[in-house]
Amino acid sequence: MDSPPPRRRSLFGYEPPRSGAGNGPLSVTELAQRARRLLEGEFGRVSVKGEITDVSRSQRGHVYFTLKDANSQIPAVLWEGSAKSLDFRLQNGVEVVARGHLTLYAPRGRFQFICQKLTLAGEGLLEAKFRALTAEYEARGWFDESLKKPLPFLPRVIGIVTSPSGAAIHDILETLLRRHPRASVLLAPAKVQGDGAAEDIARAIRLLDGRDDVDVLIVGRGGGSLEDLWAFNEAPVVEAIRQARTPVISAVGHEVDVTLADRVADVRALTPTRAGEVVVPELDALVEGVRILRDRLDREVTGLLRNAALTVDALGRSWALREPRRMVERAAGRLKDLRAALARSLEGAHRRLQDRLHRLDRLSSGRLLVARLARARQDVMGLRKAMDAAMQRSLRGARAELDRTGPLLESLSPLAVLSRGYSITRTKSDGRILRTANDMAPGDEIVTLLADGEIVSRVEES
Amino acid sequence: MAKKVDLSFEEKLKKLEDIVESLENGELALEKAVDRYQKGVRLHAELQADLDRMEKRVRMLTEEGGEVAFEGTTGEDDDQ
Repeated sequence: MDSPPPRRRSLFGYEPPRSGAGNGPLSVTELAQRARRLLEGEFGRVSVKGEITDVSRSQRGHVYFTLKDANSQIPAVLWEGSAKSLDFRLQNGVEVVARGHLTLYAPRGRFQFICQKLTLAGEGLLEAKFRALTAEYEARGWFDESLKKPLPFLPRVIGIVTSPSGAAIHDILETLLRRHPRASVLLAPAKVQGDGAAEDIARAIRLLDGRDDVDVLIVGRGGGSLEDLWAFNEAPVVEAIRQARTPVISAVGHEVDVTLADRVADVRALTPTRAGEVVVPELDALVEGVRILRDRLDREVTGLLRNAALTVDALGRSWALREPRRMVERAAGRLKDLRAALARSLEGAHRRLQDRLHRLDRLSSGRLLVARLARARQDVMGLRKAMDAAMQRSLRGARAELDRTGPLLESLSPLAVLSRGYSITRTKSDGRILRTANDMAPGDEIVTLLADGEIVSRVEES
Repeated sequence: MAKKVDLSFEEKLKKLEDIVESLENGELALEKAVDRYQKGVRLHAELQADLDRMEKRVRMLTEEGGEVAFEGTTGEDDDQ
């Protein structure tokens, strides 16, 4: 209704009833209409705060409910168009602030409040507070990623701060113990809503953080309204988490409920169950992983030893070790050849000398002959010296070659191989060389030949 | 400043992984390989001992500052 605010004396369309005197009584409709105009005039735009109850929806989508407080109630309606754009769930018990006007629906004689706009009462305040606190802590840098501590891989003791009778502890424990049946958990019970909850939670956090054996903390509670969760937005809790030296996992409510505790914690778990998953590794996987590493270790070394054994075997079978005499015989053969060559060259020199002497014989001149003989004698001496030198050189060469091959032979001998760290193991019973560990059973005796002696042992396990 | 956390299990596990990898990559003299193997066997034994030593232990702090066993709940109560 577009009527101006009512004034006492003149209301548009309102005439004080004239009692008696010729106008007769009003009709019901007249009375109803007048009353309606009165109401709409006086209460054309009002804001009223109250609790919603008796909610019901008509087929066309209009919502009928009652606004009430401790002493009074007023029927109300929210038309379908406005109901569609509500940003909260309209249900009994919710506190709201309703803006609209009062009216009288004449056909039913029904006094009601037509809602134009409906907002949550209590929540609006809290939400504003939440936004302000968020901005403040953000500005202080309390939510920075760089401050977040990593979680320990395998915590010795897991500390949990929550209600001992809530849904959260149940979910956390169930998940945690399923993954790691031998985990160690310490619960510090705390009120998670209501008066004093924030202080209680903070105290519990500090208690667990102070313990040396607690390597990680889970702080949380089950789902609820913003009011229910409010303790986790309060300064004592945020401070306690921020100052904790132990890594903190927050698990407050469900995925949509983000509290300041969640922002300041080192890790946010979207649900308590999820907290149970991230806080501890699967025990089975750990045990299996360790076992597999040992397997790989054993397999690698077995392979290495087998290769080494094969090498030693191959060396043992090589012809040089089997027949070292051949090396010596070869060297001896070379020496013989050299000697023969020397002898031949000596013979040749001797023959040439003889030819020369013969030629000298045939010459007639005596003095020339003597001089020639003297020269010849010198030649012979020189030749002999040269021959001696050549022979010495050959002999030295041959000896050097023998000297060279000697150590090589030695290094190839089985004894030298042993001194490099290899050993040859034989069975005591029949003296055969051990090539495979499967040949032996615990209790068997074995003899291990090392470079400088033998060791007799008894097999413990193979 | 973070609390000093005993990471020995994780460190031992990492060392054992490193040893196994270095052996698998080959190129180690036999003596060094056997030496590493022995170190690996020791680490494995320690890790096993650590795992075996773990025991389930679920406790709750009391108001007096002590600890009691915590049985857990059915999880049906509302948080209060």
